[in-house]
Amino acid sequence: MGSPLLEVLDLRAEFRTSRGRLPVVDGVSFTLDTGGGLAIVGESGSGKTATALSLMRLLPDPPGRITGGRVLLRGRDLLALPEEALTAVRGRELAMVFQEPATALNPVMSVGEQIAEAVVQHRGVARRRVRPLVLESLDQAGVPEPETYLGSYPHQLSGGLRQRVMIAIALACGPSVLIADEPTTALDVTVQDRLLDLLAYLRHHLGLALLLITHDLGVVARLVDRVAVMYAGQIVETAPVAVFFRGPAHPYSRGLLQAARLEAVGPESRARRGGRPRLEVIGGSVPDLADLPPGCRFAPRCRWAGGGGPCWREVPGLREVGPGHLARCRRPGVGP
Amino acid sequence: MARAAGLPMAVAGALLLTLVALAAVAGPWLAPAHPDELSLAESLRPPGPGHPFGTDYFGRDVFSRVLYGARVSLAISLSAQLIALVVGVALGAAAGYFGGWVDGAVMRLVDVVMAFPDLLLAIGIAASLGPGVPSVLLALGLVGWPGLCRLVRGEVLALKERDFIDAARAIGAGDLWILRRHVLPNVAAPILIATTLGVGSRILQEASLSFLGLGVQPPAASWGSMVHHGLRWLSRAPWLVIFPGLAIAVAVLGSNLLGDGLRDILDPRLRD
Repeated sequence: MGSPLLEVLDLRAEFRTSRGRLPVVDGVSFTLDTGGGLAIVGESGSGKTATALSLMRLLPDPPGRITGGRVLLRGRDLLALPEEALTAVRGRELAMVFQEPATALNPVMSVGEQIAEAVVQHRGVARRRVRPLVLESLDQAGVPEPETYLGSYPHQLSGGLRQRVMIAIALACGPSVLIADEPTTALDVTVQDRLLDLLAYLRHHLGLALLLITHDLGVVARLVDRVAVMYAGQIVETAPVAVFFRGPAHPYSRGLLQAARLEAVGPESRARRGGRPRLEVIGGSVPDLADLPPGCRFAPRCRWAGGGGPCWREVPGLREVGPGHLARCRRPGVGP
Repeated sequence: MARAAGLPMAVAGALLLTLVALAAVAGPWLAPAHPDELSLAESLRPPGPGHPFGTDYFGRDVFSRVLYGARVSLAISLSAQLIALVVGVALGAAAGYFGGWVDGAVMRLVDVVMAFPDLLLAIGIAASLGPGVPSVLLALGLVGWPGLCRLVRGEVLALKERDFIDAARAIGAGDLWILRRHVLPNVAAPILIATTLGVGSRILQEASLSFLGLGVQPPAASWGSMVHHGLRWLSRAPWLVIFPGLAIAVAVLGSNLLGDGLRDILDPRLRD
């Protein structure tokens, strides 16, 4: 296999606020191979976006700060690089697609110019020779008749097209890793579907490694082959997609899956069963990062933690529960 | 609605300013006499044929002097506003974008400068440097930049949080590139408006300094110094004060109308 394309080791980042230092990313590790796909799943505030931003060293500072760990891209530690060397990596090796295409595009610059930016900066191409490259990346991003959109401004485009333009910008320099932060959240369901197809296509045909940040388990199975579930800044479970969907080990993962199924089952069928949900929801809410429980961070919401048992006292580590399957739980797989 | 009101305002302002600019550029061809030409026999003639704006104590043609004064007044106020623009935008953008100690230092400086009444500060600077065009330029430039600086800083501060700035950084853009390509073009409209309005203030301030004798020195004339020298003859020859005063009013009104009109036209909430 050789060494992985992207290897994140014990990444730590915190937000310094008036309420103390909040460990938004707390010892996150994962690897991504060339052409591989990993989804980081979690609720809002679980640290998934902070993890993505930390990889590119784009975490807003202040209040954010990366406090430890390593991000190895082809064996080179991005966290140790000087800022100037980093600009050569951003866009060229690691590209990012943001959640909200309406705000992630510059309103006063035409689509063509914005894509050209990336090309001019990284490939050292003269401005007048950029056009074919711009058209090519728009085409790759699935924009029909790219020529007609070169002079368009973002506000003239639909949400789906804007997101494709974002993807075109990301693709323009031929990166090896694409980080997509909730790429479909802001879009219509029908548009979402086609965009997911596009991401899957890019992964398989361009050999792009995909790091997908999402809270939607539904998109995970279609796009990636590995899942990492984040909770309160930590990865609580990571597994191959098939294993994860068949038998999640962490109670939180099981709750997420069940909540997703509940959504899929819909309110009518719930009503048919006498108004009682057949499936579980996770009670409570994400713990306050400024005031974390001393033991397992999920213990206060966990049905199996018991009152005052070891789950409440000792911080569980990630333990192997199957081949390539790790869970941060003392009692993996308990319960129904 | 405001957009519809803005256009005629801007056009009216632009027309007035064009009139003033025309006077400045074409002055030598339009003027019936050389502005410094003395003719004591024609001292203090009221407006009439041959001397549309009358003559002053030395028999100089006031119309010609107002035309030449446009040149002096416009050149000084535009240059001063340019100084204010460059300093204000550079410092404001740096303060807003980099934040931290840069922001602290720049904004404290702004606070200090703004703590003085504009005109008083300009008088102080011009007086301590001695009268003359360079000291007026410097004084007006120094008085003008803090407002722009605050405006630009505020806009940049808001802009910095926008996703497309992060997106630009994510494709490997450096700070200067982002400032030049992404930040400043997005602040262009408010800068344009503030600069246009600022020209009006500069014209007024230049006139005030010249009126106090701190601006251009005789025999050269700016509108302010003409009002200053005409004051002595106010009861006998009011035209000495009225016409340069009108010229000041027209120029200031023009730039204010243009600035306000542009504000309405460029208001992002009205953009389609």
